[in-house]
Amino acid sequence: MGGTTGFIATFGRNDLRTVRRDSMLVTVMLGPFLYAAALWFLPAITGHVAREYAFDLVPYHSAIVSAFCVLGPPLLLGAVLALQLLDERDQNTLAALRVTPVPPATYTAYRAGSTIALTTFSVLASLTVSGQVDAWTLLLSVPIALTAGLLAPVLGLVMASLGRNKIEGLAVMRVIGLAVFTVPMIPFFILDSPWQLAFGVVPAYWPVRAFWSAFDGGTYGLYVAGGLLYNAALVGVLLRVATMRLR
Amino acid sequence: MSGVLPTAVRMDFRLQRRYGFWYATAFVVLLWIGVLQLVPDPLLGPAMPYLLMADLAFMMFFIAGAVFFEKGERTVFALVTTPLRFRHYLTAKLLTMSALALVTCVVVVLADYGPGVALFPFVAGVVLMTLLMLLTGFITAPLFPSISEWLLPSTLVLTVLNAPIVGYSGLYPHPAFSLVPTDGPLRLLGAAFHQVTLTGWQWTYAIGYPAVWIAGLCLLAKHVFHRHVVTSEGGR
Repeated sequence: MGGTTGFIATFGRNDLRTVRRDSMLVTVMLGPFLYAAALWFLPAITGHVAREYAFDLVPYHSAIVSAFCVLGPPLLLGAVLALQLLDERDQNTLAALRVTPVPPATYTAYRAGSTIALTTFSVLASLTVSGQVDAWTLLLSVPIALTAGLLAPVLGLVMASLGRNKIEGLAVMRVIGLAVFTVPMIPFFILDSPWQLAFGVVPAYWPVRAFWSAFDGGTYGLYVAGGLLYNAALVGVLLRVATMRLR
Repeated sequence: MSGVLPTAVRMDFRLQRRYGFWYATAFVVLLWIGVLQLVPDPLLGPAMPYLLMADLAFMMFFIAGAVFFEKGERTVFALVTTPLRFRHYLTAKLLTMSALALVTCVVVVLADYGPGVALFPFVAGVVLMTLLMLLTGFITAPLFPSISEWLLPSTLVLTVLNAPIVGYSGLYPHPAFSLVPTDGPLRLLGAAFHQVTLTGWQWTYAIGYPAVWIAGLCLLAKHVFHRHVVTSEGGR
């Protein structure tokens, strides 16, 4: 166990060195602000849609905010994770690691772990900057952000495992990207029906569902717990799959 | 010489299929068709230009992926030694990828909106928008060593390309948005779904301005490609 911690520290030091060299992480940090900035327009858009099309967007605010700030960061950072893993396999970095004493899964686990941390931060940052959620909802959103954080490696590891190379990874990303932005939104329209729970098989359902409840002042503990357990289990399974596929 | 371009086009279609673009597109079409059923009918027309624009933006990632892949696999360097000229190489890519994009849009629009769409502005809008997205991807990708490093700068570029939405939607109309070349195609899409009516000079602007950009970007593409891909072998 001590050994593994040592490896992770080494990877982390190395990454911090790379940060100075390329602007990757700096731009990753910009992501949440882009999403949040899009939401600054929300009040204006709401007024505009009401005037032009006589359509009230207010009941949809929680869905819109969740799409940008809860789903956006995991999707972006999951894609970055997948492209990093595929890039590193194409450049044989992963093969080089196999001649070191590092256990095979450690590297993937380290990448997944840092993605979880970055995404959790990113979700909270974008919610804060968006100006669309009050302080209490923001506080309730901390465990939701962690659920969304776990979602990022789920998406990233699926993308990296399904694509045999970067370009196939991109094709997979297009499908997953659209699916993640749309499918978990469907239950928003059938919130009164018990059938909405059927969407629980979609890992992205849990953080947005929890967010809608938090936003509207409902109980959300069940959704947070379900999301944390389900997504954590998926990360565990996918880590094994991806480690095998990426060798 | 005349056989070079058709061969290149066939090859690109074969590569697209092999990369899984066709399966991905089929899934995407099914998802769009299903999800758009949820959009209330009076909002479908107003929403279509935005949705199509967002979907076409992904073409930037597809072509960038192809550039990175072919660079990494060194197929680009093999191609340099064949009679294939750069203009064939680029034309084949632009042709095959815009064909894929156009088919996607046609199927989605017919399934969800119906045949009431105005054909000419629709096709012109989709093709011009796609070409701008493709060329932006083709030009920016070689400037970065790996796709993961390109990914985020590319979202910033995408933000600029999407900026005309703010003006088009009527939120904050400002003449400066019309300087962004995607503004014209977006207005064409608006006309296609009967959201805006274009006057004579607006038609000229909406088609001519992006066309000038596309010609300029093609020249820039050649320069960037030679400088950062062809002559940088070994540097990777």
